This record gives sequence, structure tokens and C-alpha cells, in this order.
Amino acid sequence: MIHARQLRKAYRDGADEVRVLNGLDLDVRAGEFVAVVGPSGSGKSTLLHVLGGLDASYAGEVEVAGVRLNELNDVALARFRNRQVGFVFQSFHLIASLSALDNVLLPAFFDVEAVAGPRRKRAEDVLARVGLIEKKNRVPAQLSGGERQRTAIARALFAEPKLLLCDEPTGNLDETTGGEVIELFRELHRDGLTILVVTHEDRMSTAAQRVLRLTGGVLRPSGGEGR
Amino acid sequence: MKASSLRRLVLLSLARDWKGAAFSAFGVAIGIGALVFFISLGLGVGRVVQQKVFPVEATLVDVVPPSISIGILGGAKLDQSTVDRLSKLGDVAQVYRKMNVRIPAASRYDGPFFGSHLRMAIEVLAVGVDAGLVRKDVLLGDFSDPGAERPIPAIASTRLLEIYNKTFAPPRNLPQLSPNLVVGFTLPVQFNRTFVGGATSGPVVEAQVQIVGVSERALLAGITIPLEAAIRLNRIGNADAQTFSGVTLVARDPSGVPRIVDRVRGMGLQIDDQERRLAQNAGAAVMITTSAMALLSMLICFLAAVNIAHALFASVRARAREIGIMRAVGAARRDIRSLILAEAGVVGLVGGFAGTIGAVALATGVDRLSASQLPNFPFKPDTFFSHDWRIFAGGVALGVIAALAGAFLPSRHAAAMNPARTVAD
Repeated sequence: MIHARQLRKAYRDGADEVRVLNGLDLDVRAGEFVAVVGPSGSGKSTLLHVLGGLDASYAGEVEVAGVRLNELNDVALARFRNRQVGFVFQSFHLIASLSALDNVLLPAFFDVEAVAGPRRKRAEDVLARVGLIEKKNRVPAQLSGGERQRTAIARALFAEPKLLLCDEPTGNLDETTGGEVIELFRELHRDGLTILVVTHEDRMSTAAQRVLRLTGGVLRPSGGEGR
Repeated sequence: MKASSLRRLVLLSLARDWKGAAFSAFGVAIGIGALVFFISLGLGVGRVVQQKVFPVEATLVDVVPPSISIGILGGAKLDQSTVDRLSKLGDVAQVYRKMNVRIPAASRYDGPFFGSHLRMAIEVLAVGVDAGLVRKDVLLGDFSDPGAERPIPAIASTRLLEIYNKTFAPPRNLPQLSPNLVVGFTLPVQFNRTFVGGATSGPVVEAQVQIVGVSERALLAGITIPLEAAIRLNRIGNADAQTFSGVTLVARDPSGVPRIVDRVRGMGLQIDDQERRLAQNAGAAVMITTSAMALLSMLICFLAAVNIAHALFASVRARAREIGIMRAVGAARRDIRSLILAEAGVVGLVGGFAGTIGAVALATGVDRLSASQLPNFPFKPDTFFSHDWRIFAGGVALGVIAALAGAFLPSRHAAAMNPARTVAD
């Protein structure tokens, strides 16, 4: 599902160059649930953005779901993000003025092939899948933290992506709510979805099949963690 | 992105910050409203000047004999042979001769006048013209010399009638006259007779003159009669009945007028372009005033565009994360650009419509105020404005263009934002 070779990316911090990805290699099989752990600022989110086609300024080669991201222009990358991957962020990133249903429908706004009737049905289905169909017309401010994250997960699932990329998905949730979200990821994984989570939380990484540690800009297996 | 999706996102975005959008639209409305108002006013006043005050037909060229004769043989004469040469010029479709009645004429009238009683004694100026020049305005009978025993048909000037109605008649409690009403009015005229000059040679000709129409082509301060009648009267009064006072040439096409003018001058004749120059000068004055006002309005539109740019830059900064989310779920840079431009386009469209409607309302108010408050001066129009749909459409279009121009840089800025950075927690 994911093949990354010799990924390199550096930031300029004043006069210094900070290498967050330094020849990173990664292989994730289809249907795998992988957690990437590491300290803050180690480049976990950057790796996620590169793999999701959200950040195109890097060196190296990335192939996701059979698509070589290096060869895509902006429009093709947008289409890739729309169809092949779903993002889940720590801060949910819902649009405050839109209802839960419209937030879930957001990817359809940018899909020229989406048809109004079926896409609404699909949005309601994924909201039902995450247990929020009763609250579909509520705006994010009327939802709890866990409900917001489940709405964000529903949005990520809307286009039936092959890969779910999650950036600290339980970071803003209490233990109970975070546990519910982790359980939801487990269910999705059982249904065959490939999931890559970056996290620094043990409870999240223990849910994954495989745990990798990002240090010094490269990934290494993390012993003693994962299922 | 589909148009339906774009429309939905734009409406959602504008509804969220409707106050800001309304303020931006208000700026556009002020600029467009001022522009539409002043352009409508300028074109409306220009139309009155061109069509009523100084009506000039683009295809007509008035030829007159040279005013100064130089040399032993004198200047070119405007006789029949010259007229024949003029008629053979390329680009000339018609030739209409004119001859002044070169003997004095006076009228003394004491009788009924459209429900009033009129007593007057006036000197009369008259010019004879070929019937074709005024035929379209003749409403009664045939415009030809009927001979000595019957009334001479005459055409009055449209502008003279206007001056009578607005200036002469009101203080004298005389009735207002329409072109149709004056047709058939007959007054006695004594040719070869004057109240103000000395004795004349030849017999006095007692005649009746009957108004048969009103025309913009008629003599302003006098009457226009058939050419044959003018020749007959000049002969009776021993005046020149051979040479013409002027010739009106009708060009096949307005573009042929400059060539005709060159050839006529080459024949030693002159062009009587006094009316045309007056019309051009008045038109130029109106155009300069209108242009100045339009420029001021354009400046307001520019400021509205700058305001939109500022507002959108602020909006884009505030919505950076939202734009990042859109990019994350599949928006391309061009989708973001389209979204920002479409938001501005709607603001411009609403502002343009509001401004145009406001301008039309203001113009209607000014016209009503003018009708009720201003005195009835000559050539006072029913409306001072040109209510042309193209001006309105142009106003709305300019509103959209101004808004899009204002949104150009913010849309590029929004599209260029790094989504990975804006969604970073």
C-alpha cells in the first residue's frame, strides 16, 4: 500500500537547516494498521503529510495505493487526496459553519464525478457507521470532542479511501472518548482498511499491529509495542 | 469543482460573514451607482443637445456660396450648373436646393389663435427649398407652389415651436401648440413689404401662408416654403431668382461626408457647418463633464476593489485552516482560487445590481423633481437620463469586474498557501 524510499525533507530555522526526514524508507502492506511514534517535532506529521500528498516539497520516492506521488501535478494530487486517502487530525478540523453532514460531504464538493443523491446517502451511511446519524444536522459547536472526532473520521471515510492517515487522533480526547475512537479504528481495520497513525500515546500505539519509531529522520522498529 | 458545489460553498461562506460581504458590496454599489448615474445623465443630456437643441443629421452637408469673392471673376456661384456638378459628385445621393426669399416680408395678424385672440405684426424671413428636403414632415397637402391665388404651404421649425411653447406663450397666456395642432393655421403675409426698412421696389404681393408641417430641417427663425414659390416671389420683387442661397447634399453614407466636403471646397464653395460645430462643442462640453464624473466614479470603483482586496486578504488569513482542510479533502489550488474569486464575484454582482438600481431610482427622482420644480424652459426633456439597458448591464458587469480585480491577489495568495502548514496542530 505504501512504499517510500529515501525520503528527505528539511526546514530552514533561521540560519540552521533542520532535517526532519533523512533518507526515510517505509513499507506498509494493504490492510495493515501501523503506528509511528516519536517525540514532538520528530517529523511524524510531516511524514503523514508527504504520504497523503498534502506536502509535495520533499526528495525521494513515494508510492501510495499504486500511485507514484512524485509524478502528480497539483490537480492530480488533489484528486489523489480526494479519492485514495482520508485524513484525521488531532484538532478534528471541522468547518464550524457546516453541519456534521455537510462536513462529511466536504470531499464531494471537490469531486467532479460525485452525484448529489448517492453522495448524501453515502454521507449518512458513514455518519451512521460512527454512530452520529442522529446528530447529522448539528454544527461542530453542538458536538462533544469525541463526536467531533467521529465526524472527522466519517469525513475521512466518505470517499471510501484505501488508506486512513491519522495525526494524533486521540490527542485532544479524554481517556474514555479516546478509547471509543481507538475502538472505532480497530473496527475499521478489521473491515480491511489500511491505517497509519502517528502518535505519542501508548494506548493508540498498542492498538496497532506494528509500531515504528521516528528518530533522526528515519524509521526503526519499536520493540515491545503493538498487538 | 462542479458549479453547484462552488455555488453552495460560496453561499455558505458569504452567509457566515454576511456583514463583511454586505459592506464590500456597499462599496461597489456606491461606485457603480455613481458611474451609472453620471453616464446616464451625460448621455441623456447629450441626446437632448444632439436631437433637440442642435439636431444634426450625419449624412447632410450644407453648401453655401463663398462669403468673400477674390479675383476678377469673383467666387463660385451657386447656380443650376453648379448644382448639377454637385449632384454628380461621388457619395452624393440627393441634392436639395435652397433660395432665400430676397425681398422683405411682413405679417400683420389680428384674429383667433387656437382659442385665444392674437394680435401681432412681425417681419417674416422665408426660404424656399426643394420639396424632398422636408417631405417626410409635410402633414397637409402637397409641398409645391400653388400659384398666386392659393395659400403658400409653409413648414415651421421644430425648435421655433419649442421656443414658442416654453418661452413666448406662457407669459402671454397663449396656448401650447403641438406640431399636429399648428398644421392648417393660415396667416396673411405681405411680400415686398417691411415695417422696419425703407421703401421697396416692385409690387407688394398679398399672400396667405398655411402651415403644413413642422420640421427640424426648416428655417429656425422664419418659414420654409416651396422653392418654386421663392423663385416666383423673387422674380416679382426683381430680386435674384437665379442663384441659390444654399444646397443641402445628402451623402449615401456618413463615412462619405469628409470626401464630399473636400470636393465641395475644391469647387470654391463653402460648407455651412455652424450648427454641426455648435453641436460638436456642446457635445464635447457634455462629454468632458460626463468623463470627469465617470472618472470620479471609476475611482470609487477602484477604492471598492481595494477594499474588497483588503477584506479578502483578511478573510483568507482567518480561513487559512479551513482552506487547508479543503485542500486535504481534495481541493486543488484552482478550486481555492475559484472559490475566492466566486465569492468576490457574487459581492460584485450584488453591489453592481444594487448600485444600478439605486442610480435608476435616483435618476427617476431627479426627473420627477425636475418636472415638478423646474420652470418649463425650451428643450426641457421629459428625462435628463439615458435609460439604456447597455449602461445598466455595463454597470453590473463593471461591479463584477471590480470585485474580481480586487480578489485577484487574495485568491492567488489563498491558493498558494501550504496546506500542510495550515492543518498542522
